[in-house]
Amino acid sequence: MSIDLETKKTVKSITEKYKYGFTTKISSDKAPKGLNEDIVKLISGKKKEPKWLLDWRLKAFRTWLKMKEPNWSMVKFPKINYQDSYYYSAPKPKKKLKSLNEVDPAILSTYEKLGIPLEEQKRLAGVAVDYVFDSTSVATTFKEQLSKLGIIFCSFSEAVQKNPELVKKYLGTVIPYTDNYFATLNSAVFSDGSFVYIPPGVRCPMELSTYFRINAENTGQFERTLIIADKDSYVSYLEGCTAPMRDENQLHAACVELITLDNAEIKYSTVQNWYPGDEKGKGGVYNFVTKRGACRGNNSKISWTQVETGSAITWKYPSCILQGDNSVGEFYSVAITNNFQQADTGTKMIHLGKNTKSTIISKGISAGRGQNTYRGLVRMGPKAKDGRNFTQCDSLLIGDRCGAHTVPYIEVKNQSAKVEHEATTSKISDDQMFYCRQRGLDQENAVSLIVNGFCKEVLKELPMEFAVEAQKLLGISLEGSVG
Amino acid sequence: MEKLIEDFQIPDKKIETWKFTDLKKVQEKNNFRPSVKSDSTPTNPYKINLDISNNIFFDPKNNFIIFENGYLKKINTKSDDLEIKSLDSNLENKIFNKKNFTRKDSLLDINSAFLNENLIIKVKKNAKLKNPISIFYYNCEEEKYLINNRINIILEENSEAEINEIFFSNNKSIYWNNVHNYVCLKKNSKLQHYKIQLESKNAIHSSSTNIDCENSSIYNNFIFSIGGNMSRIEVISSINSADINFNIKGLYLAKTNQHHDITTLMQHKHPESKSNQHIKGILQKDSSGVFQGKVIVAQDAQKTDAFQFNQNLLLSETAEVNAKPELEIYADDVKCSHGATTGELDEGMLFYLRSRGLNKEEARKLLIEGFINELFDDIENKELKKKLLLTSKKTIY
Repeated sequence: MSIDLETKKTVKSITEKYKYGFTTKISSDKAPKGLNEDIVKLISGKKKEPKWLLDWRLKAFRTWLKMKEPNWSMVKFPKINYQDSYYYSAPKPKKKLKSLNEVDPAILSTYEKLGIPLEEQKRLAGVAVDYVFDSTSVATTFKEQLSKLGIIFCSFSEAVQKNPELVKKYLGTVIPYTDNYFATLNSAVFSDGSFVYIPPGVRCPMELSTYFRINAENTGQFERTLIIADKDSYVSYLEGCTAPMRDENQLHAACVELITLDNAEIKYSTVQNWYPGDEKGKGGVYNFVTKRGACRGNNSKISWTQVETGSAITWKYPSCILQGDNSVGEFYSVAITNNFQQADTGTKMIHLGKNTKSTIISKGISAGRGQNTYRGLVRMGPKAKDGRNFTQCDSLLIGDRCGAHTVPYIEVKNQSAKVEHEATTSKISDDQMFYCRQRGLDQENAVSLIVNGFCKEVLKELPMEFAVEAQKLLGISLEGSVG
Repeated sequence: MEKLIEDFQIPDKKIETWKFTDLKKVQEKNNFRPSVKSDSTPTNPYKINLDISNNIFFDPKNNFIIFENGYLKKINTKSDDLEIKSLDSNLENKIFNKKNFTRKDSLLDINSAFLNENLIIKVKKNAKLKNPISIFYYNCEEEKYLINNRINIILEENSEAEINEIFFSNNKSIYWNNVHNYVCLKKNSKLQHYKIQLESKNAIHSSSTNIDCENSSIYNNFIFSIGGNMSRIEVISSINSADINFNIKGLYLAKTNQHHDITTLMQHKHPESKSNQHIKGILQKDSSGVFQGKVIVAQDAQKTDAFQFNQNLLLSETAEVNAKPELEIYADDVKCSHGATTGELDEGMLFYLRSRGLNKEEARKLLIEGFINELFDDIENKELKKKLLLTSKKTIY
């Protein structure tokens, strides 16, 4: 096994103290396994980051060392050995790419297998795709069209180079580096991600989209996304995840920060389909994500829509901090757990400003031995006059070995605030099945139909292309769960 | 060896089930001392001339038990089907299955260590008690005592009974009342259980009622919590068999600086039983209310029907409410739902009433009464219902 000389040089140039040799042949430019300050410095140095960002990472890393892994959620998994993972890997740096033809054909073919051919995507309703392949963006399209409007849509590392003042101003303001165990870890070692800035008064003409992929074995993914919608602007952002079959558990701890100023709106949609592990619960991705949006300005709006079908463990709570008066937060979620999957997901709606409104619609579907938990917080601060929240969480159980749980927290400190919460649990009734079967649908199609009906309220919030994909996904995820 | 209260961890916000109620802080402020030592038999030092007949909940026809400052003063039984006596703690563990009610905090351990009195109430097989059993807990001491009592209740097969627990005091007394109940309902038995908490405004009340239910038993609980500086009332059920009907109705009325907490846990372990919870709260100036309810439906408990509802009315800008209605379900063929609402009096309704000629205060009163009346509908003891309604009205206005 040879050591990549170039990597070694980089390491040396950043830190003299670095002692560890590389043991793996590095075709995708990996840092050695394990996590220490040197690795953080290596990541930062690789990306030629300014000093303030490195300091920020180091502060986060030192905080992380003092933190304990949280254990309050209803998920169970073997202890993660954080030293047994790679924290940096990037495809070999190549010359700057101008067109898709220059992209590594191997990468292109992977996407084709996943059913997202680039050419097709390009034509599809003008979607600009910022591909994150193994932690580093390798191709960005439609950039010119967007830049005409003043929209910045690029990889995070590029933004650090080109728009450091914006990154510095907003990074960590919604999710501080001290926030929680996984967010802090992410702050220390984040590899790359997307950066979006919509200037005042601009309505982004197309859906912005990033496809995440886990590729290299044992590579923890630490994406960092930052979206800023300046005054009177609008953007819809799509995030889709697919991952290939993999035997070992993989940690994915992403951070997404959204900021809306006066009258701005961000719509963030996710279809998450990481590898969920096999029928026996072996393998699968650990998806521990921190997503949070701040409605800073008056009349601003943040809307989260998610369809969670993959991952062995999903642990995420896309939240809204409603600071501006009249601001609106929305959360629409479908979470499916089949086989041995576990999901602990929900949202936090923190009402601070006057006349703020939030809606939570959560649909959980458990099949096989899946465990599905909705965990949510609605907090009305003392100044949230006339705050309003409506929450609805429905669970659907398929089979008698699965579980559905609801853990809502409601904290009201304002008299005029109105908070409503309701939840139901049900199963697919024999009557429903009988009706569908009698009309000639086979069992799986019947289940798929009923489940799609159950989730309709959420699916209709998804952008068109996603909605179709999501509907198919629901059916695929539940394959073999009945009978 | 003698134990001290300092040997115990007083529950605080670090424990998930105490997220909204910090008892430790209150204990640190008041430093309540156990009124009995852990290594000696308690003897009653008090000779108080309390005229219990002044209490509106007293009815000379009833069977009754009276506690004074934590010590047993009198037991009066009026039926041969009823047996009330002290219980040996060794025997207690044979009768009651405590494994169904494990606690994550130290309150029961504290209760065991400094126990004033451990009573057992037994209702014989096939007996239907005509008159209720009233248990009065009276306190008039300003010594900042921590009082620990335990009441164990057994209803044998096919028996029926009504138990009212009334916690009251003269208004100056300061104490921490820590009471735990164990209830065992045998086949086909039925218990009406009223917990009427009217502690003094400086008092702390913590209590738990743990109910083991057998086949076809019925348990109806009514919690009425208006007294004390801080109160925490827990109801924990273990539904071990089929055809059980378990109901909790609760009302907390919080005035200035009060904190009320009602926490419930329904453990459905067997198919085909029902549970129903309906808790309401009215919060006034600088007060806070908590409802934490949890329903666990085990994998085998198919055809369970569990319902949980919490409603809160905020009457002041400085009132606060925290609710956590939880469902934990491992069975698929169940009917489970919960709801929680929080808000102020509806402007539209107020307007309607005022347009009919009621003044603002009258309109408010009418709406508040409407809000709480619903809870009292099913109270079978009409006499008691009247008294409770009267007491709640006095509290609100």
